[in-house]
Amino acid sequence: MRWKPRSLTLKLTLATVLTTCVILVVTILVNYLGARNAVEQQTNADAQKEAESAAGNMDIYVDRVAVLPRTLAARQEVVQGKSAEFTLPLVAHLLDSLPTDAAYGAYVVFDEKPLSDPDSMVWVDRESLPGPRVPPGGYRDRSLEWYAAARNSRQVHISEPYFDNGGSNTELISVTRPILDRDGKFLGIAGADISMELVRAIVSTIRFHQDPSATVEPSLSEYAFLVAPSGRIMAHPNEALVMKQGFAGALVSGLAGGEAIAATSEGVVSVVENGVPRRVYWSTASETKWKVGLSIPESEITSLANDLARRTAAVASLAIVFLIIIMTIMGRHLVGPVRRLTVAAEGVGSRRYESVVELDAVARRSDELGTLAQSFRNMVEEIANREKSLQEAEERLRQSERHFRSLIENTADIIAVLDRQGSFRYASPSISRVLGVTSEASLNRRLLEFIHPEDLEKLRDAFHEAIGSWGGSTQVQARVHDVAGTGRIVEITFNNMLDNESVSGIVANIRDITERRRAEDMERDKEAAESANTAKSNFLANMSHELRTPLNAIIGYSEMLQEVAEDDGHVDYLADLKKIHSAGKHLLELINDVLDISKIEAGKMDLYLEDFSPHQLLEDVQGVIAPLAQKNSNQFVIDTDGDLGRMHADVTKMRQSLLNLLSNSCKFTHNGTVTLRVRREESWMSFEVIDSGIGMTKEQMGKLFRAFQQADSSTTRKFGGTGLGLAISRHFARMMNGDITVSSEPGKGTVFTMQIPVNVVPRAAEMPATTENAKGESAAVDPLPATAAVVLVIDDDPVVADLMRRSLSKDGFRVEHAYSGEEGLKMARQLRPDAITLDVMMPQMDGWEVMTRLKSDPELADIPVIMLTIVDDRKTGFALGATEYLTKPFDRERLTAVLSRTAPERSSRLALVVDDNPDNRLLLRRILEPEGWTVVEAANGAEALASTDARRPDMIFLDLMMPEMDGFEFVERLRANELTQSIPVLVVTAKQITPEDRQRLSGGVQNILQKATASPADLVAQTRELLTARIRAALPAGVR
Amino acid sequence: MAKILIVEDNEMNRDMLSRRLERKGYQIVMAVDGGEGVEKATSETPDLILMDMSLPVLDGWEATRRVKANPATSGIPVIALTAHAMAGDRDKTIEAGCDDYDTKPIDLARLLGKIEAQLQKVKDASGVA
Repeated sequence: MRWKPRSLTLKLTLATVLTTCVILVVTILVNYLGARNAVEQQTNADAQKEAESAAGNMDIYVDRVAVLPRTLAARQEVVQGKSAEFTLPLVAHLLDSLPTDAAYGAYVVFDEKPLSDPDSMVWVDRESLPGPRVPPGGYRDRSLEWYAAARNSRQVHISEPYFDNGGSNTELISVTRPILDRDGKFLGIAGADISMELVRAIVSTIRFHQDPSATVEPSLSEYAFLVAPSGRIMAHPNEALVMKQGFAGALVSGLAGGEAIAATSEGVVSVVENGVPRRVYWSTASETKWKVGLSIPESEITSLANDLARRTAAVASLAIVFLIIIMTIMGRHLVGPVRRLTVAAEGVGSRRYESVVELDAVARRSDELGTLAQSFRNMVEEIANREKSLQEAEERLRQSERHFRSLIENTADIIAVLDRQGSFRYASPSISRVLGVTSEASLNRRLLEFIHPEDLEKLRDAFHEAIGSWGGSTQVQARVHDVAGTGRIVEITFNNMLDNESVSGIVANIRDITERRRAEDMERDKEAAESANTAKSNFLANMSHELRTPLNAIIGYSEMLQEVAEDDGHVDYLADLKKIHSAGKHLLELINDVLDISKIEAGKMDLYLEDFSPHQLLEDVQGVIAPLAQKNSNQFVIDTDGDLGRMHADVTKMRQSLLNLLSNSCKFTHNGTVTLRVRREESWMSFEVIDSGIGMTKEQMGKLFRAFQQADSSTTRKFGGTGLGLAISRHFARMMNGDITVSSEPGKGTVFTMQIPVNVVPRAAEMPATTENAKGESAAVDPLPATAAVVLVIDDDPVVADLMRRSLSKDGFRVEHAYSGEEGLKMARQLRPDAITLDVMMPQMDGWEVMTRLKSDPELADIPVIMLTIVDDRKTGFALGATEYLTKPFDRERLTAVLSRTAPERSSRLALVVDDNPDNRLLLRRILEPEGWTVVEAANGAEALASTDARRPDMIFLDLMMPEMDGFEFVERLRANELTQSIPVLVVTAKQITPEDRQRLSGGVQNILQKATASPADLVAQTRELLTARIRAALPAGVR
Repeated sequence: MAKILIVEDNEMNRDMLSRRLERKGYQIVMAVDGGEGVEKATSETPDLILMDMSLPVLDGWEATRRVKANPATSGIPVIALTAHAMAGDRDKTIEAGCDDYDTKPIDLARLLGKIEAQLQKVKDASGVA
């Protein structure tokens, strides 16, 4: 793994180095060989030159000595043959003036004088200076070459070396010149001696290359030798070859290669001496004709070339090392980025796209690698983007899969896949609810096992019919017995999907319709009951009219007869006539009550609002009640407080209600007081009917306002009346946004309180609702709680709307209705429903348009929309964002299931009502409870705090003026506690709120409601608004 | 003495009301249906009409509208008498042109008050005129 990227460097370096080395070596070799040749030639030439130069030096040396005889031969005194007296100083002086190594001795010989004459030879040598040398055995023989050759040649002569036994007893060379007079007559000779010893010393120092002083193996040392013109060896390291006393010296021709030396004046010859190859260079001096030979071992000559070779090799090695270094650096420089690219590419391979960051440095390069890195990086970014979008797409796919899976698994129906034998291959989890076996346990079991024996045939037929045709679909209803043995009814739809590769089975949709059947039965019963009830109401309304006509006659004639009898003096008839009259009136009252209730139940009761004076109303009432009160010896008191102003309300209904309350009190009170206490409280008119009568138990009070349920049936017999009056009166009060409440204790009397707004606002829209309430009370059906999920039905068909309301409210949904697309959008924004059902075919704005607008409004887009239409275009519906698509006529159970899933019930709410006045608390309770609130009461701030600690309310309704702890302090304490500071507070007060009060409450309460202006409807609306705002703020969208 | 036209289809009610009003000193003219009521209003020129609303041939509302549409009779006050205890049709009667209304069964004292009030109104109006 690690070697691979490096190998490129190595390969590159090796290849380059090898190539370069080969080139280098070949170049060096060629150059070396050429150079070696040149060096050798040069060496040959140099050696030859050395030999020549050594020979030349011999000439020069001899010539320097030759100065002596020439000078002597030219001197007057010598030529005139003067005596030794005169010549001796001259000879001595001349010898002394020469360097000591030049000449050994100098002399003059006079030919005329015999050898025996001491004056025949004036001779001085280095040892005799400055005196003459006189050899005891006489002077040397004149017949010898040194004398004879000079006399004969008459010029300077250089002798062969010879041993002088005439005085010096050494080997000498003599340089002589004849002495001639003016006429050319030979007088004698002048001469000088050269010591052979000196000559040999000079020759021994001649070297071509080696240092003469260095100690060298003799066989490998260079040496020079000197050969006389006669071919005799004059000087040679080998002493045996050199002339000495009694030996003329070896001939050069006897040496190895000596013949060549002897034959030519100069040249070179290769020889082998003692096994060592040598070269011998020689040259002949022009004057002396001496041959100087130079013997050099071959190795000395080639050593130069070898030096060259060594240097070349060193340079070559250096060059190669340098090359390797350069190549490595270059390789690194080139391969480094490549390696990074490789690492990045490996990173991409293992999906670590961030590794391309390492390429930044490379990408900044301006060369090809930079471009490559840049392109690579772009490519990786592209890949990363694709990868990301691929992952996102996969995630979407997974989500979609989860979505559909959860749809299948959470649907109430069993979705099952069966094979051809009818055995389960898959069953959704709801199978455990319907058939009592788990999905796993159902596998491979046959559907038929669960079917009631009597329905087996039917089911088999349906199954086989479905199998019989590709894509065939059949439906059958059958009884099943689950494990628990409870008989249930299911509706099974078989869909042949055998040819669908992804299913390849029979898809069975098994729906538990037990409840639906039961509900359908109940619905039928209920509808029958309702229609019977309507028929009853209509009958009563008609009948009461028919009853009234004869009654009118009875009452009218009896009344008339009373007048006539009185006028005509038939006083004894009067009592009976009065009985007829009052019985008729009582019957009329009963009929009127029944008619009222019937009208209320039929939803036909209307309000007639007008301006009137409450005082006038009270006068009317007093006129009627005063006689009634007197009957049971009661005192009737009307207690008013100042001017009551005017009212705008339905005075007839108020009168009827007051009369009813008062006549009740008069009936149940004996010898006591019945008080009508009237107070104007800001925007409310409060009528309290206080009696000191028999009172009631709590149980009795509970039944009090229900139609056809008098507190005690026996009281009906005892006191008369239909028992409808209170129900009617309360209904009237509520129609006017007011209410009637009661408080009582057995034996201590009763207080009825009727509160009516001073200015009643018609609530046309709420009329059906109040009718519903009246119905609800008689039918004992609980009103929907405030926590009910709100479903907005958008449908232009009122029949559908009514059907939806009736069926959905049974399932606990609050249904609001919009009759057009535009109204629907408006209501959706106001209500923020938990779900919307939407029709497609609507005038002006159709359902698709509504859907599009809903989904494009961010505030509404989250609300699930269920298409409910006869148009079967699911594709469009789902494409536009529908949560579910149901076709009309809709299956109620299915719709309920869908709604329960999409719009779950809102959680229940706890309200804390804080007020020192129990009546005010009761009023709020009556407003809140029908809206689904659980109400807890507290009489002051301290109690309220305790209650808050015990259970955290969702909202607090607060009065300000209270004993012990007032509302201001309560709010401060509430807000100081972290746990309770977020509870919304709605102040409901009769107190005039001053700016200081607002300051004290600032931020502490959500809203302030003046009791004077707040109707119960306002309270409900405000409460709803506050709570809705809070719930929406606290919960994420979609959960609502 | 003021002349009162009673338009009432029920014989007993007609008889009873006419006799009781006569005893109070009014002159009474009677009609048994709406058509006759309109005729009598023109021919008898009563000072006041007591109009039952549920009448055969021509109902009380239509009859009243015709009486009020005729300039000769439009000045005659009409008191509607309805059998509906809840006075549910009050607005309709006023709308039809009735000057006042009362419910059956008749409370004679109350009806007398309303009759006198209407007669007084006419008297005041003509006095001013």
